[in-house]
Amino acid sequence: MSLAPLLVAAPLVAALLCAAVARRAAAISALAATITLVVGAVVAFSSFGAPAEHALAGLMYVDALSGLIVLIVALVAAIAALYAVPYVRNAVGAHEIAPTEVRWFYVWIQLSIAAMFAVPLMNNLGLMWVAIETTTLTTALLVAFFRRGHSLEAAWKYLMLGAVGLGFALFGILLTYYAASHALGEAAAALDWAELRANAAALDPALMRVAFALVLIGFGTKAGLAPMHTWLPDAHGEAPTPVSVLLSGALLNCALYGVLRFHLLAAGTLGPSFSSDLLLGLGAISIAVAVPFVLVQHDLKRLLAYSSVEHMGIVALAVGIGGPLGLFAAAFHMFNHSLAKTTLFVAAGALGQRYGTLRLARMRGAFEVAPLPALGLVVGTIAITGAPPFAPFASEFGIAQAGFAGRPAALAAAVVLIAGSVLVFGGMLFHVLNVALRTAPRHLHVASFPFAAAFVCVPLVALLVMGIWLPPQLREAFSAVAAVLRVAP
Amino acid sequence: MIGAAAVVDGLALALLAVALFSVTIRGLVSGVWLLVVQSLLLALVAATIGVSSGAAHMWAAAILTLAVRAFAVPAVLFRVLTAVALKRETRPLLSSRDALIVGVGLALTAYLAAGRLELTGAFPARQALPVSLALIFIGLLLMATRRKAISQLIGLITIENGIFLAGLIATLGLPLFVEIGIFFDLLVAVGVTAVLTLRINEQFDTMNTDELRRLRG
Repeated sequence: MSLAPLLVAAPLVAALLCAAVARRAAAISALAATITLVVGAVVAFSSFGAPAEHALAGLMYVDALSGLIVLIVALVAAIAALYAVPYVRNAVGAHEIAPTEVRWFYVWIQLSIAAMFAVPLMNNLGLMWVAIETTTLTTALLVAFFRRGHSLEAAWKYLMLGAVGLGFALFGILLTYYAASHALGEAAAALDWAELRANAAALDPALMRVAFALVLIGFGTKAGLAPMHTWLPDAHGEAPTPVSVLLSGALLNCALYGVLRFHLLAAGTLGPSFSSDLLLGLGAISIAVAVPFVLVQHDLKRLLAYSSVEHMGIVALAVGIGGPLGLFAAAFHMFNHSLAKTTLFVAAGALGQRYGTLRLARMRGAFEVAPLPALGLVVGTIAITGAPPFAPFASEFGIAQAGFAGRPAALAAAVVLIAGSVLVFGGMLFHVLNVALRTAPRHLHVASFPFAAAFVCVPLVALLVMGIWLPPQLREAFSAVAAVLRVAP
Repeated sequence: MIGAAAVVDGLALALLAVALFSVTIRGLVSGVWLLVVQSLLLALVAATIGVSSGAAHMWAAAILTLAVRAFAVPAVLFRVLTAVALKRETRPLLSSRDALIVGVGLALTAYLAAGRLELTGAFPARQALPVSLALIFIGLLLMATRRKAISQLIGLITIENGIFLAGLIATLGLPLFVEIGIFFDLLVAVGVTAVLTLRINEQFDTMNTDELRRLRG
């Protein structure tokens, strides 16, 4: 029996408990996230070596692609929920969150985590849409949690753009259902993933072309692909930091997962080139759009948010390039980005609470102020910008290599990837070194950050190790994901 | 006797007329009432298809539409409007006349686009698909040109109505359990936006999303 249903059930129960037992909300949330971390790892690693399986009477479907997303969500959710404990305590101390509101923060965090686990596990594409829409609703309230003007603005923009985008995606799913019910007959099974994938070749090509475009716009909006990314820096920048961690590290991948499922369907109907080329194009545009905003950025979390736009673009581009190496590197990069970006946001949040601001110009001398978060910020930046010897270098190198061996469009995309990465490396490192070095301001806030060494060093060491030597279990995992993502030429 | 398809066509044209009318008005209360009318028309479409096709889940769709779209959602919106004591959309980007012209243009575009798509729906109503696209376009127009948070929400629900209508016609709706999920999400979405609207109102003493133009770059 699969443990997958537990991944959705545990956070839901935790949310109820947090609402009921206000005093213990932080502990309940942390415990639940630890449980889902263990269960998520078990579910994920048992999915990589085995054929796809159904769970919960066919409601859930777990293959290696779901497994990768489950693993990422489990990791990021655990770090976010654990980091939320000191973060919220400091925010209450700084009168940013009222003590009576604290439990609702954990309630919404746990509900968001439940929805994020549901996305990769749903077998029915309609229910997958419902899960993605639910993540928007639960996280929108979290983005606005500080109730400041800016965070309300960010949440409103996020909600409206997200809802319109998901409307497009729903229309695309509707067209898919229409095509499927013509090809396969009227049945509830017509949005069943396994059924659709097996019969993709029988679907109407003209319809599937429109359907994929709509889904790409819709889920692409949520995945932060340019030019639909405009909500992302606002939401990720204004949200309380544990929420930024969830949004950047986990939620973007969930939305991209939705795009990838439809890419597989569209490729089954139309052949690989249509959807691959669109992914390639949007990926390259996302990289190109992110670069100038990284270079002239004035806010630390917005800097990290634009880097997320870049990296979602890189993953989309890698899937567009395709081939065993490109797909392996895409899965590897998704994992690397989540791990590195999570560390960066945690470090940024810890520093932000010390300085009482996230404006880059007012954050100076971080190594004096808070050495471990400063270390996390600098080394994390070196890692995520694709500098050797960290893991993102290995995955980006793989993507570029696949691009140079591929068709002309893939080669051009690889050039965009390299140029963009170099520019972002320079820009981000410049900003971050300015924050880390220089003279610290006199006035600082009090904020505690226990276990800073664990939060900062464990992920960075993991990224370093994976950059030099990829453990066979992970190699097998990313190969299994690549096998799921392979589309017949 | 008039066929079910003709009835649905008539209802669809009425929906289009209501949507175009909502583009021209500025009163927020009347805007929400027009949403109620849209929802009642949608419920009638579902019921008509239910009668003629005998599909039982169409009745479920009709009842859900009445309960959620025609009752619960407007109830939430009315409560927000009472709480913030707000009556009219001020200074929309387009005057009523210009908005109507653009709206009619969008409706024509929808007819052209629907012709290109060549969908032969599960239900033989000829007007319904173009109208559903038109509702989506008009909803986008409302969201783009209105400044009050509630008006933007009305635009969003108009888009959702268009998608729902397309689903009814093209495939006799999505599988029921998916449909229930979508209705649930719609309800939560309206609840969440209502909460945000109230907080924006507290913060800015206005519900102008105009004030929400400070995050850039």
